[in-house]
Amino acid sequence: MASPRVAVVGAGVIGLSTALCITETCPSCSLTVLSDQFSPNTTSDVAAGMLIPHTYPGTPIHRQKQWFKETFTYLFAISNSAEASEAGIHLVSGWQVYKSTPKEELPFWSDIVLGFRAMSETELLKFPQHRFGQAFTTLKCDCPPYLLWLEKRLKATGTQMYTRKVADLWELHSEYDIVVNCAGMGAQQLVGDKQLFPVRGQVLKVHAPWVKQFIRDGDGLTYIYPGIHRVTLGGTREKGSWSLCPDAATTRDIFDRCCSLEPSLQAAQDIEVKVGLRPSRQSVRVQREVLSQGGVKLPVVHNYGHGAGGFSVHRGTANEAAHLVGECISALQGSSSRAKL
Amino acid sequence: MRVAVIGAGVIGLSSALCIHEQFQGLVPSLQLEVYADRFTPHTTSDGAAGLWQPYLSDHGNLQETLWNKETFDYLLGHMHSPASKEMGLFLISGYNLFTEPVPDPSWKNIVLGFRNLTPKELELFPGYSYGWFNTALMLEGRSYLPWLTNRLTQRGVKFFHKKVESFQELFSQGVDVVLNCSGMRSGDLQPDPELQPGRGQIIKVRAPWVKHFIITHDLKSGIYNSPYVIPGSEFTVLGGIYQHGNWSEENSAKDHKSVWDSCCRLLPALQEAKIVDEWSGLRPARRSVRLERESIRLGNRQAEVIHNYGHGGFGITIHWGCAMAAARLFASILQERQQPAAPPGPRL
Repeated sequence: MASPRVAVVGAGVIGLSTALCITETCPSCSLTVLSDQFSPNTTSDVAAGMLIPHTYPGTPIHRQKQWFKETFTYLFAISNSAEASEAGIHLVSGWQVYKSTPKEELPFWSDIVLGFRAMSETELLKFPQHRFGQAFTTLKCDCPPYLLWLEKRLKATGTQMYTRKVADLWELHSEYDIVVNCAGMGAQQLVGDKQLFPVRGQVLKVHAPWVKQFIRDGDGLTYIYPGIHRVTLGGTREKGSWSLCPDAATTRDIFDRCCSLEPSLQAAQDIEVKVGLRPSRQSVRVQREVLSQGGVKLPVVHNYGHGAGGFSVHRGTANEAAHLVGECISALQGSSSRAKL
Repeated sequence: MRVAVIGAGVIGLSSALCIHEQFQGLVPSLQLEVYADRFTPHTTSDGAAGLWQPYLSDHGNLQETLWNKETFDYLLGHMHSPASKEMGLFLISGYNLFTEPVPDPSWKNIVLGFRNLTPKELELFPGYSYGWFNTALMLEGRSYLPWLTNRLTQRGVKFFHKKVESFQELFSQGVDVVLNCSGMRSGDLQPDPELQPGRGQIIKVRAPWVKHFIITHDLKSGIYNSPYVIPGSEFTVLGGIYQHGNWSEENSAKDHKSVWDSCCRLLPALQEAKIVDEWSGLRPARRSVRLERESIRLGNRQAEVIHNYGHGGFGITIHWGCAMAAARLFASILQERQQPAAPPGPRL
């Protein structure tokens, strides 16, 4: 098989980063990205893109830590380079505050982010309702810039990108040898995964350029994440909700909660409301599968179900998925050479 | 009682506000006036980035360290007020970088979360092997000065756009006390060989992805002669020039290149930043701040000058502590004169 034809379904952060890893591990592949949405209309575009991991109950911690470490290292190098502003990657410092001391004072990722330490008493004075906090420096991936930068890198390698709604992975079997499923929430319909469910998030993107620090409540519901041009205020975690319509009462509630953490936000301008459905699962599905129908086989690599933690682990899971694509190619080359005998 | 403040930079305006807030109730006849030939946005304070940070060493000048602390605590107390954005006040974290270990600064317990940099953080800054991280405050002159002006105007303080040629000029008009906050040009009013310009030049760029201040230090070349990057609310300031004795307020191409090249080496992504402005200013440098009373005999009158100048590159950092000290000096003047309307002794 001289040039395996690989299709990546999905053009959010997972689809694009997986495609990029595939071009790196398998330069001879003929790669195509297919998606019904591209930036700025993906779920990734709604997210703030903060590298603060979500903990997946069903994935071993050492694997999540490895994914986060690879992602952090990769983005750290970009943030330090001349491409940082184009790629939308920047360092940001701030605080995670808790109303009551958490069971786990040292999260598994505390030695990967920079300068992690407990907040001092004086720092906590700024948050009268909170009794404990952590200070650290991490990275943020601003979207659309990061996704557009990934698209640009892909185009430079000759990767094709098409707007196309894939209703069924089988429709791709005649044009492609391997399919990579990075469809996020779309995987529910595409592969009928009942373990995948939406967790609706509503956010506000506002103009408040004097906000330079992030603030996050440890409960994960209230956060202030300063991006390059806008500050993301959040949020909600509505399990099972499929609604993509902004809710006005929710907007008011998010704004109030954020202002109580950072009163100067009262002066924020140009409030834009966005909604995304976190493609949630007990564990991220990074897995090979061979679909079979009437004697025809279709190798599939799944990389979906990142829920609230997509940005934090995207490069790590992309590396793993690309490695699985490599295995699929070997398997195909093995069977095609067997077929020649 | 007529009080004239000379100078409308951060020192003049904050001293005026501090005195008016404390004494207007106690001295009903108090009339406060501000005289300056330059107002915001044309003062030295407007050109400064606005980062609260004293120099590395206070040279044993504990008084200045205390004034710095009073200023930081005062500003931190305003952080939760709805006025903070209008004041140009916000929290910011960042890095101080060195090529060798240095002792901790006098202000390590004033700022928030002061700590040494970890090895991984130092990877961000090749060429630097030691450093600090802390959270401090920004107070942008272009917002703070208009805010101070509004507070003063609301209180009935009058402003006069003119260059005062001498203290006598004001005393002969009936002014009782002069607050000399004339910064770099204090020497025009009263020669002071200790006051020298510390010329700086900065480039303003659009680099909104920069969220931290980064101040590098070259112990051999002295303060602010090493690149620094300070992100403001609208644009980022690139600097690294401190020329003692240079009175030029013209931008120099050589200094531009030095600042641009060294800052881009520090933060490669700055090469993509758009330059929006350039500015040169004179830090009113002095071995120590001149904050003292001077009595001047005028015939049968005794006139008083309170000097409050020579804040170098740390005017914003120290301003409120100095304003309060100036107010205490004013109180002592009142006490000596035993103002009829004032109760015995100032309450401070």
